[in-house]
Amino acid sequence: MVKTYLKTLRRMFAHHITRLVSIILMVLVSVGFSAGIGMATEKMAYSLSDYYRSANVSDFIVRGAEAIDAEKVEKLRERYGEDSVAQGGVIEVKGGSLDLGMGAMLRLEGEGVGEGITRIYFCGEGTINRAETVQAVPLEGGEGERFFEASAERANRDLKGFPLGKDVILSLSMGPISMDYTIRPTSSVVSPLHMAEYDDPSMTEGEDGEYELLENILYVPVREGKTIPFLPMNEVYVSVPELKKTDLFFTPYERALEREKAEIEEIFSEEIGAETAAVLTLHENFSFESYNGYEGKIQDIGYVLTVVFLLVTLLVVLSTMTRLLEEERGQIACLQTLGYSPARILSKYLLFALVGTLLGAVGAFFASEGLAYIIYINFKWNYVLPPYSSHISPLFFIVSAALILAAAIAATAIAGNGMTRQAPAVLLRPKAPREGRKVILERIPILWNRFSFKYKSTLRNVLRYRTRFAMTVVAVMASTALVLAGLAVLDACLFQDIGTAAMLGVAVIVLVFAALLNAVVIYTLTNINISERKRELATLMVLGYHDNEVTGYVYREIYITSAVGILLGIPLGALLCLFVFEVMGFGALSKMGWYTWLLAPLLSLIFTFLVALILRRKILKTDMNDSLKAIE
Amino acid sequence: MNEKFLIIFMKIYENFVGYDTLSIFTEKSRQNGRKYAIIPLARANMNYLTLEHVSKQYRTGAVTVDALTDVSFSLDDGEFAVVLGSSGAGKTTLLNLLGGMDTATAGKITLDGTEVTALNRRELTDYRRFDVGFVFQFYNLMPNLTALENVEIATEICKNALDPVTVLELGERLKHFPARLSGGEQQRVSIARAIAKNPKLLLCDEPTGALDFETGKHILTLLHDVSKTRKKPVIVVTHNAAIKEMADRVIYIRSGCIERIETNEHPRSVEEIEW
Repeated sequence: MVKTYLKTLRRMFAHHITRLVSIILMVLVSVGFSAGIGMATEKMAYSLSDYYRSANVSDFIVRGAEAIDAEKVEKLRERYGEDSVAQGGVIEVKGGSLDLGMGAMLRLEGEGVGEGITRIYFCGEGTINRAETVQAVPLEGGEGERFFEASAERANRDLKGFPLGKDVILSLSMGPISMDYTIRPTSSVVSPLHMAEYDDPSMTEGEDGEYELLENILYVPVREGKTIPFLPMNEVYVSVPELKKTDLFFTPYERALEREKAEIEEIFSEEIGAETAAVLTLHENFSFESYNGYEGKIQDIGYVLTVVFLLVTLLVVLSTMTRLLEEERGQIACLQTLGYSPARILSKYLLFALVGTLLGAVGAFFASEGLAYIIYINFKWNYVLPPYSSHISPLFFIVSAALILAAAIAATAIAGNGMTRQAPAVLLRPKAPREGRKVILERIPILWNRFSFKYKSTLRNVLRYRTRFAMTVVAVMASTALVLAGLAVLDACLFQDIGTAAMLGVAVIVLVFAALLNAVVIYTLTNINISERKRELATLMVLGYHDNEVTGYVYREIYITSAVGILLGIPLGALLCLFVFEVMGFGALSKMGWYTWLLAPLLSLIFTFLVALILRRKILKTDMNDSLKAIE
Repeated sequence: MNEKFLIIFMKIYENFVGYDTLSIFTEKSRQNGRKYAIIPLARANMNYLTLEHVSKQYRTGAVTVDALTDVSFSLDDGEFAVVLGSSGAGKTTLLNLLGGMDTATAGKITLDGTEVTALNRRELTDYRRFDVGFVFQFYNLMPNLTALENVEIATEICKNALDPVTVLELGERLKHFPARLSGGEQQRVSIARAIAKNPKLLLCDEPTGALDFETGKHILTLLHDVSKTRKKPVIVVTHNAAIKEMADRVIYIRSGCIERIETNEHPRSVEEIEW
């Protein structure tokens, strides 16, 4: 019995292979998308967290107007440990000069010093905010009290960088007295605090009241006994390893950060009250905060689009499984009359749904890995990217795959249960073809009589299969909307705001996946439609209808349905776009190129025509005999 | 209930016209101011349909099945022929070849001077469109078209079509959808659809198979009258041996071969037949 049962199983899979492939593809696309987006955000979080951990990034910076009170630094050391606290200082020099007040002036001269703002860090000892060396030249000569071997932040879109090995002269003057210090950058580095490739702001306000962008950054190590006078150690860096045990993008870190920030503010309450000091966290760091922002944006966009993706897939998988059961009606009845239990009979179809969704899910898992990497790697335009984390977080994958799986199984079970509950005799009889019904238009004979009967039948068909019509419209509508959203993001990234190159990857992925889903959805639904109409198509063929007239019978209906879906997809797409723009913080409906509005419906239309072309052969291959003589 | 309605309807009609259910072909007679058609049976067009050594093989993989082997016969116009055979004998294959729904492996089929076996795919479609009418066991009506529209679907694409309303004597019910019609009524629509095209040949595959005895008889009467009034051959394929009594010609088919062909000099009328 098991052997024969397995045989029927194998044959069913072979017979419905197109359906299986449809299910696999749709699950792959939608779960792949949702898991990919989810995975990308997690990879972003984990990669940066790992990097910040290894660079021992400072969780807090206490920034004072003047030198930080040594007693208070001591307090910090007591609390967090010797190695967790480092002292330093920072100044910003605009156009090569800085007024230190009380008649003291600082001048900076040398290659690399420009009109913009050069920030100079005076770094104390310690391993906090360990920068990575990108390039280095050997030090030749250069020693003495007033010589400093330094490093410079690497050049990027905004930062100019310093020529390595060339001296920069820092001179301090007060009245007639002046003193020169030689700073020689011998290496260019990437600091974890300045990994952004552009838009890194200084602390200096420009004329427009905005913070000007940094033009250059120098790191000058200072030791006890070898410092530059007048330049106070006005910063303390605190890195708490225990804090970073949890990942930096998640709530536990946020809570710990808040808690410790309050503690530190307590220590510096006096200065903070006098507004001469502030406690900064990573959220006040441009690189971290913008990276964090992107991660959040991708997540938000992902959530909403994922819902649409999954809904469409669910809808179409349900249609597919219901239709499959309907086609197997005779076989189900036959097994019933032989005394097979409903559970046994249905297990075959449940297995079909299970295999389809599982295979799709397996594909989706690999697809999501790929997607996550593509999204991540796109951020190299915005950041010096930390190494890609090997951490695998299957949460999004599991949730979306389980959802589709459960829904597919449940739908199959419900539809199948409804079927096996009927008496075998009922099932053995052919299902009465659904009755035609008159449409409202028929009440207006002047109009109705103008239609040739083929349009009459099309209009009635649309109404006859109202559920199918609604499902198709919704599916086409949603997938068109997704395509529009994808195009809108792409358009915004490419033409509206050049500072958003990183989102380009996301946009392309949304677009590609939406288009894929759109194509598969249209194909699947059209296929179902054709298989439902086989008998009617065969009748037309027997009556001597030509190829185009036969295909036209289903195609007119498909075109109408698609057109309605596509038209409704535009407003829904606009809504999605609004949401996406809101989340991204850039882009506007009014700024979208006119071609995006045209391209999205056009793409759906092209898919519809393409599917029609592909399925033409299938329609014309319909065996007139089989379809007309069999009782289905 | 519906069958009863049909029968009563037809009885009343027969009394009214003073003739049997020939009503479906009366349009020309009406034009002439007559209530019924009188068509002379003389001067039959001999060998209107001929089959010469027709064979059909089906090939699935390595297996070849001989569905029909060396079938030859001919029919005059106006002949009512019954093809008899058990299931699997090749009846349907024969019908498919005659109807241009399939192509023969060997042999020649000619209808009214046209060599059907020489037609290509497109020409076969036109052949089905203009020259043959089909009646099936399960009617195969378009469920989303009314009875009348189901006839129109065929006449719309034909050159010499008859007026569907006249052909389809369903009265009020011609605006009903098939699901609202009884089996007999549906088969009437199906027959009307086949003959409204004004075809050269009418092919019927078990036309009474899904109908009860009384309704079946009426349908057979209808088909029989088509052959006589329109002077076109009608071929009824069936496994119901009782029907042969009313045929002009009976073709016995077995294992894909013609066993024998009988000619009934005095076919009985449908009323005399029981099964």
